Amino acid sequence: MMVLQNIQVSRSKRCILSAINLKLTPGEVTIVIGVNGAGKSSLVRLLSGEWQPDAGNISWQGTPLSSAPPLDMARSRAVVNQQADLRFDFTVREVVEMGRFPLRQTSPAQLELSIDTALEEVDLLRHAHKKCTRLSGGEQKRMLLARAMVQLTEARTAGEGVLILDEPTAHLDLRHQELLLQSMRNRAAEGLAVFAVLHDLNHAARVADQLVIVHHGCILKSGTVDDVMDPELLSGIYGIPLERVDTPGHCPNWISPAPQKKSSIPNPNLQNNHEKHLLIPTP
Amino acid sequence: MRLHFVSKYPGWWLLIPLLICTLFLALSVGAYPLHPAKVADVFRRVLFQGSQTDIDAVVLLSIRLPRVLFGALAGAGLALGGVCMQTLFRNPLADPGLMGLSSGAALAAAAVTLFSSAAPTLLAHPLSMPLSAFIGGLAITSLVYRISHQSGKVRVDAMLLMGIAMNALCGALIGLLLVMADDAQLRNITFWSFGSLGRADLKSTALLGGIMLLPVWGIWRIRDAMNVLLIGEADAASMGVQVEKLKFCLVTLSCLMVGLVVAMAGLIGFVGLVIPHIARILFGVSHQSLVPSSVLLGAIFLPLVDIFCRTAVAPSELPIGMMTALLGTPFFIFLLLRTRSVA
Repeated sequence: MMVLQNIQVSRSKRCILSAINLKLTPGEVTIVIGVNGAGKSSLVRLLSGEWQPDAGNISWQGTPLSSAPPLDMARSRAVVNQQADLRFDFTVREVVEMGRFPLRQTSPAQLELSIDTALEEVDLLRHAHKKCTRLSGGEQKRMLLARAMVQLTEARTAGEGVLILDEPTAHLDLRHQELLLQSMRNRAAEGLAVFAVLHDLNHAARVADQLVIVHHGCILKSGTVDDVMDPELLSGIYGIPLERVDTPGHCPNWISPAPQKKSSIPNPNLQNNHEKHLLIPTP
Repeated sequence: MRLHFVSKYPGWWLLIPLLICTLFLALSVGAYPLHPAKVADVFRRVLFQGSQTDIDAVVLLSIRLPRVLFGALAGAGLALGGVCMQTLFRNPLADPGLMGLSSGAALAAAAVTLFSSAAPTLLAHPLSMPLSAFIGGLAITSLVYRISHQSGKVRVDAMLLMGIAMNALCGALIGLLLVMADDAQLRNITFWSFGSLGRADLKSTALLGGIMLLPVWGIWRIRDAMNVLLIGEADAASMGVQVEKLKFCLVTLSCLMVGLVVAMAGLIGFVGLVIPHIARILFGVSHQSLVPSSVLLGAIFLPLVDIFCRTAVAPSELPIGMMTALLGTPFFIFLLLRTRSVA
């Protein structure tokens, strides 16, 4: 379990995160939502070890994160960052294979199998020999997720680890968004704690066990989806009217932008927003 | 262009027989031609009958063999230095000279040449030039590295800018020294800066070979971490790579190799830029194949260029640094254009 206690982070004399208390529980998916600049990515940097807190503690399985050996930590924690910065022509397979870096001795056959499985799960097996710089943004994101899955091979077997994803659905088409959400649930089912920053409230509502709203560098509210998905609260945060739509036979929580009744310029697309959300496939 | 089978079967092994052929060719060709059969005969006689004193053996063992072996080691060292710098800067257009190593060495060499008359016992010693060039190169690189160090981290972009600034400063100071130099000193400094393998002897070759074992072994050990670094510092750190230690290792090991070569042979440009590129095109970007293929290609390339330098205007010879620059510049422009078109 990863625990954050009274975390405070400042950069250039500006407070970026304060009074952060959060638990990432094994087998659960924790989703963070919030407006741009709220501090979501800062939270990812903190969890990934890129930033150190100015105050407070982060611990993994009871050990402070700062004192954990980097390789041991890398075996238990994988991060998929918001953007890939690929400048060299590695093949997709080579990038995914890099996930073995922190692993202890793995047999070549076992490694091949875990790479193939990861590539298959993110639907990139047929592109395994393609150069990574030639992939689209969404494909690159899926490739990095596959690499993270290989990196967590030992953690997945042991059923203790954490997967951190910063805006994983960005650049993905609908089908691959679904695959990714399913993959997050699969990792949680394997016993990993999954942490992700999402912008799509519908995705967040569907996949989260624990939902966290970050606002102005603080955790405004956290809890189950039912606790947190309050249309009034969300409308206040995002600055647009939002409403909950219950669809029989589907996920119970749907948040959809309400039609702008007083708009001076009629927008033909706005009236269809409600229906558009219902088009999103649901489990 | 990259062959798919290469990733499965390490194709760089094919470069080993090519290297042997090149070295044999380089031993045979020169102002005093030696038929390959004669070369083989001399080696056979030395092996079974002890030291030989005939002209063929003297030319081959005292002059040509050290030079050819030194050229191969220097080429390998410069190429591997280029690999380190390109990994450090995550830029395929980076080169060992970027951190001021070459200009620092050139400045120190120019200063020693100029002031050797002032302290002849110390500065006129044959070792003073290579030693000061080595220390000069190392000092400037250390300065660049130290200034780029901020709050426990080395900022690569700051290092790049500092390197450019230091190169400009050293260039200006070398210019100042050249203005103060007399004709003989000017000639010495100019010839040193063009680079030459002619100064190589068995001792310097053995020294270079012995010292180079350490960086080559070190770089081979960290090849996986180098691969991961190419994906980005944040990603590498999250995968357990100790990024700051790795950066320090890359700077230190490449400085050791390139500094030694520059100190002993003068400035030989573009090998560190061009060879890793060719290796990437032929054998892929993974350091698993890039490290050995760059070493072998560098060891093949420099003796080949040296053959041309020795024979083109025989019995005189062309400076090898000039030839590598003549070959390297058009290739560099081609790479820039290719990178731009891909972007």
